[in-house]
Amino acid sequence: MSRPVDRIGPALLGAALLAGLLPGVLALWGISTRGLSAFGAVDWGALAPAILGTALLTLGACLFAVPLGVAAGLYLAEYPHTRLARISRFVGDVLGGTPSIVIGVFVWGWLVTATGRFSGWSGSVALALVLLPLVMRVTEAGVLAVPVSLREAPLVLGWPRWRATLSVTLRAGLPGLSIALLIAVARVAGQAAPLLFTALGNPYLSADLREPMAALPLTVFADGSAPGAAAQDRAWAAALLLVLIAALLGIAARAVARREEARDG
Amino acid sequence: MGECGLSAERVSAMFGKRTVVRDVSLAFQPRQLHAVVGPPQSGKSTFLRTLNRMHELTVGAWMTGQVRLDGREVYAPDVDPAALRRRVGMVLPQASVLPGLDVRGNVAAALPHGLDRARQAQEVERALVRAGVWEEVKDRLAADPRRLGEGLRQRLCLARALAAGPDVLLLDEPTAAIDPGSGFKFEEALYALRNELCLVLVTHDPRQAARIADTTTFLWLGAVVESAPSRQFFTRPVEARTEAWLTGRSA
Repeated sequence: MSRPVDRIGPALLGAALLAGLLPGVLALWGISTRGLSAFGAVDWGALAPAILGTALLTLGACLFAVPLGVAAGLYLAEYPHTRLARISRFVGDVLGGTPSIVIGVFVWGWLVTATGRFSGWSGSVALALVLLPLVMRVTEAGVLAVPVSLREAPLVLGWPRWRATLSVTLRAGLPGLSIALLIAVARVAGQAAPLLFTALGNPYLSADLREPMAALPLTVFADGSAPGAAAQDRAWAAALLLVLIAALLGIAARAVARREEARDG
Repeated sequence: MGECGLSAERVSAMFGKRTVVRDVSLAFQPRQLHAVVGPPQSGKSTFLRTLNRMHELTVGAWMTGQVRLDGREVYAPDVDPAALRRRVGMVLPQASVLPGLDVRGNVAAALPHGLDRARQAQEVERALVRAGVWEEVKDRLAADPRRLGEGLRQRLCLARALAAGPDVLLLDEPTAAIDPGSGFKFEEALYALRNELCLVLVTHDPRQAARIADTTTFLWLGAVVESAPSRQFFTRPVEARTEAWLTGRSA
C-alpha cells in the first residue's frame, strides 16, 4: 500500500501545474472571446496591412536569422572549445538576454537613421536579431542531441568533417531542430517592441519592404490604447490572430514530431 | 589491398590531465587479426582511436608517441585525417546507419565518388558479400536500414566500412551491443576477412579473441601487460596478471 506522502507528492505537483496554467488559460479565454466577437465586427480591410506585414517581416527575419543561426549553432556544437565559439556563445547570450526594445533602438540608430527612413527591412533585421540567438541555441542543442556514434559514423568512412556535419549530423538533428525553429519563429512573430522604432507601422497595404510596414503586434499596441470601438476591435482581432499563428506553428511542430516518431517506429 | 604496415610506438593518450593509454608500442601485421583485450576502462578503445586519429576529435583529448602507416607518421602535419581514415577504416560499437539512406545507399556512401551506377551496384554487392550479409539483405536493398535487426545493422556497418576499401580495419567492441547469435555471424565474417586485411579488434571478451584472433594483446590500466600469438596467450600466458584476468581472479 502506498504511503500518504507518495500520494501527496503527485497531488502537489498537479496543483502547481494547474496554478501555473491558470493565468495562461484565463488569458487565452479572454483573448478568444473578445477576439472572436471582434472578428465579426472588425474591418478586415484595415487589418490586412498588418497581416501581410507580419508575414513579410517574419519571413524576412527568418531569411536573415535562420541560415546564419543554424551555421553558428553547428559551429558551436562541432567546435565547442575554440576561442571563436566561446566569444560567439557569450555574444549570443548577451543578445538573447537583451530586451527586444533595446534591439529595436539599436537597429533604429544603426539602420533607420543611416537610411533616413523607417522600413520593413529594418523591422526584419530587428526581429532577426531577436531570433538569431534562439536559432543558435536550438541548433547547438539539436546537434548535441544526435548520438556521438551517429556523428562519428561518416567520419570513420573518411568523409571530411564539413560533409559529415551537413549530410549526417544536421540531417539527423533536423526533426528536433524544425520543431524548435517553429516555436522560436512563433515567439518572434508576436514581438512588437523591436518594430516600434524600425517598421513603425503603416495604415496602407504595402508589400514594399523599403517602406514603413504594419504588423499585428503593432496593431495590438497602437489600436489597443486608442479610443473607439473600431480600433479596439482591430486590436482584439490582431491579438487573436497572433495566438492563432502561435497555435498553428505549435501544431505544425507537433506534426513534425509525430511524423518522426512514426518513422522511427 | 591488405598490405599494411601499421605500428604504434610509445603511444600515450590523454583526456586533459588524465592519462588513459601509457606508452603502448605494438605492430600489426597484414592478413592477421590482432585482438586487444582487457577489462572495461583499460584504454583499449582510446588506443584504437589513436590509430586513425579519431581520438583527436574528442574535446580535451591529446596524445604523444608515433603511429606509422607504411612507415609514414600519420600525425604528420601534411596528413589529411579523412584520407587516413579511408585507409584505416573503423567499425564503431553502435550500429549507426546514415539517416535518409536505404540499405544500398548506406553502403554506397563509403564508395569513392565518380563510380557509374553499374560499378556502384557491383561494389555494394561485393562489400555485402564480404561482410557475410548479402543473402540476408539482397531483397531488401531499398529498405530503411533502421528496420533491420541490431545484429544485421552492425554487419551492414561492417560492409560499409569494407566498401571504403581500407587496408586496415579497426573494430571497436563491434559485438558488444548485439545478441550472441548475431555476434557469432559477425565473428565468422571477421574470420574470413583476416585473409584479406589487417584487422585490429578491441574486445572485453577474451573468449572472442581466443576464437578468432591470431595475436592477442592484454591491456591493463592503459599499459600493455602481455602480447603474444593467441594460442600461446590463452594456453601459456607469461604474466601472472594475464593469467589472473583470464581465469577471472581479478576484475
